[in-house]
Formats: sequence, C-alpha cells, structure tokens
Amino acid sequence: MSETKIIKTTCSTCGPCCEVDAYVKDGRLISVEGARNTPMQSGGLCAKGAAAAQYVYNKERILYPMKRVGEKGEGKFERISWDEAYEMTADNLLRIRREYGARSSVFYAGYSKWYRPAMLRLANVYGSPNFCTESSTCFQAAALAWRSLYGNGICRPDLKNTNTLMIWSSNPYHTNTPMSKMFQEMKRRGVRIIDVDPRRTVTAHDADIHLQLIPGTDGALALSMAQVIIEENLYDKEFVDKYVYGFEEYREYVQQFTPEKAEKITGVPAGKIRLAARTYAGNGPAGLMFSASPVVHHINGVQNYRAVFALIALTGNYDIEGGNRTQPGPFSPANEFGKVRRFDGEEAIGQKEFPVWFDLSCDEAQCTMLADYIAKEKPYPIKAVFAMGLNHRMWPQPEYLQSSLGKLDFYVNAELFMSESSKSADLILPACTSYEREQVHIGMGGRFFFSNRAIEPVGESRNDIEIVMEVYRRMKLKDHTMCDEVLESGYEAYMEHILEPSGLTLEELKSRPEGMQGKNLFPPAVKTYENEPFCTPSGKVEFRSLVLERYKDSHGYEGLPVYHDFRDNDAVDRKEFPLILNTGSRKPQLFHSRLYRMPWLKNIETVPMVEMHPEDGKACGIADGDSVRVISPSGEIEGTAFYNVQGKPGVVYIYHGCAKGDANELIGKDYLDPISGFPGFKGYFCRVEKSGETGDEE
Amino acid sequence: MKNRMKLRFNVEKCIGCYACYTACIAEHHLPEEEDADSNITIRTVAEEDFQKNVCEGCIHCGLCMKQCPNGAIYREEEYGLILVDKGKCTGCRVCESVCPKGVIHYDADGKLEKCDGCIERLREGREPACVRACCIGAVERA
Repeated sequence: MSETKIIKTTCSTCGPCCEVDAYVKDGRLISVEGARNTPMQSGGLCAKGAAAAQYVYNKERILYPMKRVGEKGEGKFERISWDEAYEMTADNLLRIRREYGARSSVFYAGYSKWYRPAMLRLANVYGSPNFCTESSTCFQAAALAWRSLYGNGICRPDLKNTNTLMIWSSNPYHTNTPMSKMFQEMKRRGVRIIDVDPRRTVTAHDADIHLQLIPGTDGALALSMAQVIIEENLYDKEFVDKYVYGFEEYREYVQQFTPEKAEKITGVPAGKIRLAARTYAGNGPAGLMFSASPVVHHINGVQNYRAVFALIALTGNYDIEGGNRTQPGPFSPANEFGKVRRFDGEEAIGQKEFPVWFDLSCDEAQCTMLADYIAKEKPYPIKAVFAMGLNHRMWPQPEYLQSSLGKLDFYVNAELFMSESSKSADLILPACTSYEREQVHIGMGGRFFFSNRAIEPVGESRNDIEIVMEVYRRMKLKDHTMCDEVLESGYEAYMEHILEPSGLTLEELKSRPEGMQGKNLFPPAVKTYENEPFCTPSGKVEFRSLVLERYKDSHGYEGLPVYHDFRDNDAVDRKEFPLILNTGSRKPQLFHSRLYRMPWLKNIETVPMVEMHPEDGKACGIADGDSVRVISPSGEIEGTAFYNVQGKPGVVYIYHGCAKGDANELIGKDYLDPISGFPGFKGYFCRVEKSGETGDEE
Repeated sequence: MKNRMKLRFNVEKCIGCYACYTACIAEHHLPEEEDADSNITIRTVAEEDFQKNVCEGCIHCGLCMKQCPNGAIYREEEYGLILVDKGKCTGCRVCESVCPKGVIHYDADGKLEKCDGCIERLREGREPACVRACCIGAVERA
C-alpha cells in the first residue's frame, strides 16, 4: 500500500494555468485541488479543474503515434513507433519544402499554448513565414487595437490601486473562477465597478453600474462616453496635449455620439452612459479590464476596442498607479515567450488581406482564411500543416476547413484527444497534459514557479516541446544547414534557458514549491512615457492611427476609431433573420470544444444550448426546453431552446464548440473584421424555429 | 459530539460556477464512471431581468432521517453527519418529499444517494470537497 502524495503542479485545461495540488496514489491521479501557496489564487478551483481526472484519463486520449491507413478523413489509423512517426514527419516536411518551398508548410499551434515559442523556432529554422496559432481568432485583435494606439503590449489594470474598475465584456466569475475572490475583495474595498455586458451576468449583477448594450455596439458606447468626458471637461488636458496624436479630429468625431443618440444605437439609457463616463473619468484612478475576444468578435471589432482603449489616455489613466500600467509590479526578464521573432522574409498567409496584423506584429501569420488558402492555392499553394492541438471548430464554417485539410499533401496533428480534426490527419502524435510533464512558469510580479510531473505520461504520450525538438533533430540530420541552438539543447536545458535572464537556476526553483522571484528584478514603473516616446509612428498615443491610414486607399481603413454598425448590412434580409445572433461566450464548465468529451462537465447542462429571452421565444412559438433549429444566412444547426432573462429581447446566445450543433457553422467564412480578420462571431443574424417545422425558404 | 459538522450553502453568494458540483463527483467516483451524479443540486433563481444557476447540497439537518419509515437513515457519531444504510432503503422516496433543500438523489437501483459530508476526508483532516473547491466561500463548514 502506497501513500497518497501531494504534488505541486499546474492545471492547463484552459488558459490561466492555475497552480494546483495533485493527489496521486499508486502513480495515478486521484484528485486535484487549488493550491494555497500562491499569491494569485484563492485556494479554490473551477469546475473544469476539479474534473481533472476525467480529462487525464479520458477514453479519447491518444496513446500512441498513429498513421493513416484509410482514405483521408476516414479516420482509420494504425499504431506506429515514435521513431517511424518522427521520420515520417521529417521526411514529408523536407520533401514539401523541396517541391513547393518552405512557405507552403504551415506551423500551427492550437491548444494548449505553452509550447508556442519552440514551435515558432521550428517554423523559423525550416524557413516558413507561416507560424500561426489559435490567436488568429482570439485575443490578438484586442492586442492589435491596443498597439495601434499605444504601440506596446496591452496593459492590464492595476487592480490593487484602482478606485474604479470598468470591466468591458468579461465575466470573470465564469471565465476565470479562481480570480473571483480577488474581485470580491475589490468590492469590499469600495472600488466602484462598471460592467459593460449585453447580459446581466453574475458579474454584472455584482457591479455598481451595468451598461447593458446591444452586442457589437461597444464603439458607439465608448465614443459617447468620450463625448460626455470632453464636453464636461473631465478629460486630462495636460496628458492629451502632450501625448495624444489626432485629438482634435477625435473630439470632432465624438460629437456625433451624444448619449441620447448613443442610447438609440446601443440600447443603454443616456443617463447611465453619463453616469458611467463621470464615474470612470471622475472617480480615478480607474482601471479598464479588457477581455480576449468578445469585443473583437465583431466586424467593427478593432475600431470598437480602439474607441474603448482611447478612454484610458483621454482620462489620464495610462501608466499611473491604479490605471492601466506598463509594469504594475516588479518584473523579471525571461526567455522564450514574446522573445522569439517570426521569420518575415517572405509573404505570409493573411498578409495581403490583413496588413496591419503584420505591421503591428504579433509574430504570427493570420490564418483565419486558412481553408481558402488551402482550397484555392492562393496566394500560393499550402501543402503541409504541422499542427499541435488544431481544432477546426475554432474557425467560422468549420466543416469547410475540415474538408480543406483533407486536400493537404501532409497533415500531422499532435493532440491529447482523438478529436475530429485529428481524424483528417495523415499522422497523429500523442501529447501529454500538464500533469504528465515538467514546466517552468512565469507568473505575475516577477515570480516563477515550477510545475512538477505528477504522474507518468499516459500511454506513449510526450511533452509537446520534446516532440518539436525531436522533429527538428530528425530534419537536421538530413539538412545540416538547419541550426537552432535552443531546439538542439534538450528539454532540461530549455527550462534553464527560460530562466537564464532572471538569475535563477532550475535546481533552486525546483526546491521551492511556493515559487520564487527572479533575482534580476526591475521595480514597478509609472509614467514610462515621460522618458521614452510611445512606440507609434508619431511617438504619441494615436487616436488617429497612422498605421491604419497607410491602408486607406488599398483597404479602406480609417485612422480614427470610427463606428460602423453591423446592422447596416444590405446583404441580409432582417425580415428573414430578425434576431441578433451572439455565439461563443463562456460557460463555467466548458472550454471551446475540448470538454464536451467529459461527461461530468457535459452533463451539467443540455448542449448545445440556445438561450432566448422569453418574449422572443413566445413570439417564435418556442417553449422553454423545445428542440429548435437556428438558421442564419450562412448555415443552420439544431439545439435546445432555453428561456433566459439575462439578455434583452432580440438577441439569441449560443455556446460554441459543440459537435452536435456547432454555432460556428452559422457564421459566414467571409464575415470578418477587415482589419484583424476576426470573424463576427458575436454579432450576426438568425431566426429560430421549432424543430420539425418547415421553414419558408426553398 | 465535539467534531460536529454541518454544511451551509449561501445561495446569495453563489456565482453558479459548478466547482462544488464537479468536485463532489470527482471525490466520490472514478473517471470511468461517466454518468456519475453529484450529490449537489443545481437550481435556477430568477428575478425580473436577472437569473442565475446556484448549487445547493445537504445541510445535514436530519429531517429525512426522522421521516424515513425504514430506519435507513441515521446520524453517525463522530461528526453528526446524516448517512444512509442502503441495505435498509426500499426506495419509497419519503426522504425526497421532506428534504427542505431538494438535494436527495437516487442511484440506478432507486436507492437513496446523498451527501456523506466527505467523511473520509474529514477523518484525514481535510475539508469536504465542495468547501475546498469553492473560491468565494459560498460553501462553508458550519
């Protein structure tokens, strides 16, 4: 009889990588609990993390490398050795480079995210400009909107020192549950909370002011707040005069958005817009909590978020204590994340369509149109995809991508689970979870921590970075000109390499389960702009973006954070599709498509869930719990209707990623924000019919 | 009974994240038991323009024990938890009808399945799984 051991490790089921205590007995993961040795976490956990055992021991886990034996997409595979799998990968990638050029291979990183810098190194050393990630539809458009204004990486709110927190389209109680306690402590401290959300979520319910806008009208709301702030002289004149470019044009533009007019556009009462504007500008310092995707999953998304982010500079809340800060706590340098530059010596996919994505570089290509690039061989043929965690359900009209993947010459996917996207691959490589590998984590405030291996890898699964390294080594044996010292060094050395600038060694970090701060710390900073200009063409905060204006003639981009309403769409007959369709917000028990395979989580609520206001339900002849068909101009899916009064009438909410009814099939593949390429997942149109009834279309 | 333990679920505080709900399943079942049920019940509370799902579990009040016609429910001595002796349960469902929290569940054979207060964990000096999982203190040991 062996004892139960508690091992300090990390949950990586979703993004934040919460530190956890893994209970392990006889080499098997028994349970997982939130760690209590960390400054950032309450000690609790979320539903996803608590169900970790069903994630790790899921019956869909891929246990061995497998190669395709049937037709492409048929899903027939046979087990092979790792040696054969590596040889097959290296041979095919080198052959395709020889025959079509390096750029015809795409290196794609889906979930999880931790191995991205290593994979970017692999793409670089191979010579392809086409390293891309799931960020082609997540977060990077928000970062782009920010960078167009401030020129740097997106700045978080300084939660410790803020007096007013404006949460713009986020529901942290459900998206980052272990942060809930911190949020409630802010409330207890007396911080005023303004929440901008189309629905009265649990977070909105706890806020002091809830601006319940129609989805996609964020820009109009922010511009209206600016109108109030300028008109009432609540803006920071000194900061604006000295550090803002294009203020006069902006001031003139926002005059169109009086609260009364904005009320008509956004559905938010004029009085509430004024109250929020006065609170944000007057009860400072004020922080703005952004979200990864909701605002930018609209076809005017980048401009809408530009309008929101401009409020920070307008009110002088940029880089001050309690505002949005470049460096709110101590900071320790580290290698890899954000340090590896993408090879840009050749045109990448997405570069013609979305040039600003590359000018304001995030070191990724933009692959939102990957299916088209493969199917139409434009701008040039794409013949191979080396992927980790590729999931076609991330894209609009996912079945189109799935069929395009079948046209590739060579497609390999490393995955935890036998996903549908893996079934169309030529080769599948088994990756392991965070419980089965060691990892160096970079936390907040210059803190590092070591995530232990709690259990041996399930089956023959391997750590993603070790897979990348071995693919590199096999290619190098056949092409001696390839050289990347970091990939060459092995995984232990890789972890040392991450830590090296911090002054820590791997050995000392391993000996400190509570983590430790880097030795080469930089202190917290404020008003960095006083010493160095903004990293924009004008050297100032660009309310009028000179980068966007480069493409005025070719792409029609405008420099100001202009508001274009997605409802002004002549291509859609609103009589036929009277409801606004908002897809892809979060449920606390789900994460994209990967957790639908966990019955403990999937069974909590009926899926796919179509949430309607009871008024809309009754008008459509649909009762709570009815089976329904949702029809958009681009597709249709089946689901179950649930009455919900959190949202206002006129909008239907559907959660994404469910194979039984994939909300993304409802979104047109070309329904994209022209600046970022992000799909308009959260602002399209539909109607809902009771299942079994015949629609009136042909 | 010096170790007496009850549980309290604060519906006002609850944010409906389902962490306690899932932690309960994970504590009592193996991952292979796919259809395993939680001993916690989810219900919806609604106002005019707001609704949320909340989780509630057994508070070990003992009402079911008092009403059980078969003596299948008893109070254990160490912590005062209300537990079930499945051998005596006939599946008559009287307990369900008297439970003030609506947290009585039944297994596949129709026998009473209820919260055991994570008695095994208590004996190891740990908190019940639901208490441990909750990030905001909406589930508390009273």
